Amino acid sequence: MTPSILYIACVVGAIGLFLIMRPHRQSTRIVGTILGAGAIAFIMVKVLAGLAADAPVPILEVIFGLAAIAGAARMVTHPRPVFAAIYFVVVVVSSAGMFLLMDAEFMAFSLIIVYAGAILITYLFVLMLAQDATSTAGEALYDRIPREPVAALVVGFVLLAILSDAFLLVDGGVRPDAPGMTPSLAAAEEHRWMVLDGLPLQLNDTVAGLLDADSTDAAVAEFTIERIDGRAIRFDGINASVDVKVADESRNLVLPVSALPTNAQLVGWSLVATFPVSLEVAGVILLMAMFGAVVLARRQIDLGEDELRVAAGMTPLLEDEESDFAGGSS
Amino acid sequence: MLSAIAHTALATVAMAGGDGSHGLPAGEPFGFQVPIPPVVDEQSFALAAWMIWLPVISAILCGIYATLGVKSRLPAWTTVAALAGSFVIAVMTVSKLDFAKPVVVHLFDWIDLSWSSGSGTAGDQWHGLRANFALYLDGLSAYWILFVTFLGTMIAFYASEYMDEDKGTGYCRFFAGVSIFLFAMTALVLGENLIMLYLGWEGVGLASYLLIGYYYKKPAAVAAAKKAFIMNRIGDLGLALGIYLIWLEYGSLEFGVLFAALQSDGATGAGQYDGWAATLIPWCLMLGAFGKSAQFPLYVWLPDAMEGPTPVSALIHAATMVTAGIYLIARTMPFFLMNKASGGHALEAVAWIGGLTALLAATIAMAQYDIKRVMAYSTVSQLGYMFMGLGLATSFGACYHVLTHAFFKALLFLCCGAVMHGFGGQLDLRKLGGIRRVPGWGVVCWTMLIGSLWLSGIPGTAGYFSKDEILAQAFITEGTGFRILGWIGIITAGLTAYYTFRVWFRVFTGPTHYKPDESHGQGGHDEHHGDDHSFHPHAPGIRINLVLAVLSLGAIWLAVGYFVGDIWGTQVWIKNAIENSSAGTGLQLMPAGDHSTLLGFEPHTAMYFISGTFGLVGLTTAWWLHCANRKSADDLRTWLTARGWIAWLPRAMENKWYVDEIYIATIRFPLWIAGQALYMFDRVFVDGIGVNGTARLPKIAASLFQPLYNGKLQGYATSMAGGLALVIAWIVWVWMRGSV
Amino acid sequence: MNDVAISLTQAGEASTMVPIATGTIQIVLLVSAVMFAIGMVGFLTRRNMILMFLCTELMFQASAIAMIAFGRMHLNPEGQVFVIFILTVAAAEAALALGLVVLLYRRKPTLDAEAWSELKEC
Repeated sequence: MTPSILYIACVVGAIGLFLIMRPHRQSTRIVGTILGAGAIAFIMVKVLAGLAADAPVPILEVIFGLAAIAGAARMVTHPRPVFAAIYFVVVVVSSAGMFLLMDAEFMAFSLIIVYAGAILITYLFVLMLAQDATSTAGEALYDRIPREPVAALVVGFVLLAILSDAFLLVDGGVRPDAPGMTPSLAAAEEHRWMVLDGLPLQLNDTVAGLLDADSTDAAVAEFTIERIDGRAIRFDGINASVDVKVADESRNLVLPVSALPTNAQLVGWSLVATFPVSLEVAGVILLMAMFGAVVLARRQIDLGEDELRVAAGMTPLLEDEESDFAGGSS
Repeated sequence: MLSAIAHTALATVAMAGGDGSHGLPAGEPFGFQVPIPPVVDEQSFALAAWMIWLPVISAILCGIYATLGVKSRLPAWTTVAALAGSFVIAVMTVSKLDFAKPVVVHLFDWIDLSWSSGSGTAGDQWHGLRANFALYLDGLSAYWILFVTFLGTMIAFYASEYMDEDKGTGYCRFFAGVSIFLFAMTALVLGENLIMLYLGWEGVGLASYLLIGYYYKKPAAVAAAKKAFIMNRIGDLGLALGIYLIWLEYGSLEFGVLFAALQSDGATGAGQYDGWAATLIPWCLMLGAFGKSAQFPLYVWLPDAMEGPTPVSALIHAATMVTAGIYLIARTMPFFLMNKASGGHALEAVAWIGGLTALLAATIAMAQYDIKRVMAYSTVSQLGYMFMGLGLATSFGACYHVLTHAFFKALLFLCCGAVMHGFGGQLDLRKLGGIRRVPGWGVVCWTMLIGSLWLSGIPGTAGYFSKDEILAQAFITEGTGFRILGWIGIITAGLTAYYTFRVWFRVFTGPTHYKPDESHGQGGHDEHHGDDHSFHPHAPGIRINLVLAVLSLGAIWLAVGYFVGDIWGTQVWIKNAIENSSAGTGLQLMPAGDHSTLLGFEPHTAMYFISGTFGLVGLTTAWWLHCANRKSADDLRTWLTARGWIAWLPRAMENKWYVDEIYIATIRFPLWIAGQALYMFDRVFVDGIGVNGTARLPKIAASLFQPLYNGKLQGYATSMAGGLALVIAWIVWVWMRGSV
Repeated sequence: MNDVAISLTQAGEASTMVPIATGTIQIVLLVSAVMFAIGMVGFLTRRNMILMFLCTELMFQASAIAMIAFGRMHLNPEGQVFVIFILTVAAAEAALALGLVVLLYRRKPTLDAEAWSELKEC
């Protein structure tokens, strides 16, 4: 794939999105959908064609990705805000699927809980709250007509062109097999074992389980894990083992792969061991946002009589009427 | 950067002149008294630090009082107590001090720098600048600190009554200023190095500025304060340059190190005695001294400084601060003597400028009507005597005169202040008369008589002895026209007696008449100010009288002490203090065996008669013109102005020899022209083309992009996203890929 | 959850992890880039203030996907940690933005962002 093909595909995609944006024109929307989907599909096929022969074909990734993109496109083009929000749920669910495929199951489920469960509900709530008074006809004018779509599409798709260029075509840009790009598997695995080392209770349980399985005795009650420089687990590049002293007898136990900490544990470890300050700051940001939201929402705007009437969907009072009586009666 | 260039340039020049032929012949003893190196002694002189800290504490307390809004006399008592404490400590310190053995009392490390030229080669030298906050106690500083703290205490006590009308913030401000002044003055006098001296030097200048401008709502006072400050800047430039050159030449600013360097004999130190910088040092120091001590041509600020409250005039502009110049030259006397020994003329310049200033100021003082101004010009004149003494290499005479002058001039000023205070601000001697007979003015009258006698140098008074010490020296020391200078001094002595007693006779004798100053008149008195007795003066209170009495007793003691030979004998004590210090004069400047004679007598003996005669002649003339025949003074003036050939004389004297006008024409006007030219340049080129023109460029550029700023949120967002896209494009295409 | 993690490990192999194939990661990153671009286009073209903020959430989502993908690629969990922070910021932003929208809506009963153009000078 050469850059020019990629750029042309981006232009086609932009035209497709532009056509989808045209409101209430079924035919152009179909054409636009076909163009956009074609461009995406073309690039994806090109990428898949470059896969190594023995690599598994990422079917699920492609399906979730297409669903996410379709949801996103529909979300930004749908004239009715509530539908747009619901399409965003599609995006969130598809992204959660991709997270799962990327071994980030903890984040996948928290994404669904936090985004689909909390944030989006708030959005919907506010949408309902605000939508009610303004448009009785269902679609407000400002929701149907996009604002300066050409400029926005140019900017957005230039960005896309550059980003996809960087992701797909730059040598060594994101190629995991490029030299120096990813750590050796052994190093990554050692890091994980070291996380287990930092979880002494879990290590104890694991060792106890191993000893249970090993020994013919009914119970091995007492054992101590020997630590050298605070490290219990020794990793030789292939196997991880611990030295255990059981009844004054030293034993070397090889830990099974299943004893590795889970993904959620790894994230938690990273969160508290590597980024504790950031974690605190995030907490403070949330607290401040809560305060801010409370302060903002509490502020009362004193509207005049006419403005209140307008807000309530009524016609404003005429100026030459006696406002005292008119105000009293209404 | 600039200083580095200047450093290099000056160093080069100094090098170039270094092999001049002015060096002393090797082996010949250099004839000035160099004190032995100072001993660092913090144990037995630990208390001395409080001499400098007490005024600081007092200044801080006065500031706190001002913040708290204290309306009582608390600031005055605080200041008086602090200064009295300083004085007591000074007495205790000096009584322990052996004048021949200077002592350094280290307070704290202040400046300690060292660096190399950085070349790293073998010849790379380490340079350094060390100036510790330390006191240098020797005869000279002991002598100075005694009378500075004593007069400070006395005058602060006097001011506690004098400033009564300003109780409140102004009172606090005044005494804070006095405390700051005393701090700076002690730092100046006691400083162990030239940096500390300079700190004190600038500090007294600041205090002087603050106190002259004390009545800051009065335009004349503000102008006078600015004038004093700016004139002093000129002198301070000289001092700063002098200090810099000293550091450049000797690599140190500590007195002990400097004197040791100067003392070193010709074999090792000959090179240090000459060179362009070394020749220039005394001239720079002299400029500084002339600025601070109001000598021609930098004296014009001092008469104007009388706009400040009278205690300030007495303390700062008569007794202590203006003697800082004398102190500076006395302290750095070795540099001047060195200059003379190598064929320079710095000392002669000091003597001549001092003598001529003395004469000039005396003539102006004769024709002034404002009694404080008369005293101010008299101060200039007396300071001229002191410089003459320094220039004639009798630093003993100069310093002795500093002390006597400090007492009697402070006394005179305080008397003038009492008169001004009591008579509604009236200072014009034509509008005052016969105050002697007004009830309650006896002490002022008789103490002022003592002050006048002492200033006039009537035989038997302290001023007589100290002045004669200087005048007689003019006929002993060898130098260009020193004998003529001596006669100028003698004539000046006569004029001094005349103008001093002109004031005294006019104000205190004759028919009693007075009226308040119009600008100070209160309410109903203004309507009939022609009537002498509608205005009721208030006589000075007990505190003013007490201070006046104490000061006159001090003046009398100075005179009586001359005849007493033991430790209480002032002359012996002072001679001991001065000549054991760095100000000790070089005897080799005088012919060894046979002193030159004056009218066939030994000069000192002759001077007793000559100057006494001149003084008495001046006194008699004053008596005749201003007491016995009051009309004749005006007649004389009319007679003089009627004659064309002499009419310029009284007019010039009344107009202060037009020195202020000459200043305006030669300095201020050209500066004004230059200022206008630069102002126009600034307006047209800098402001017009440079600033406004540059400012217009973005405006023009902005008008191109103005349509983008439509106030729509998403419009801005589009611009921002576009910018982001461009940045990422640059990163990907240029940075990551290396080409577009 | 454990099953998913363990499913990546293959019995008998020494290593518990496999590097991700270049094509796979490129697919995911491409999806993330497209989502980001669409989100940006949406932000610039939608006039409804609430939907504008929803589009920013879309962009957050896209960057979260990229983070996860890179974390997977480099075989460390820090990408996921960053997603937690992104979620934090998104939640805070949603709270404040919606508060602002409510406030603005009280002033002018419309959600049209064009109604607020006081930033322009003339």
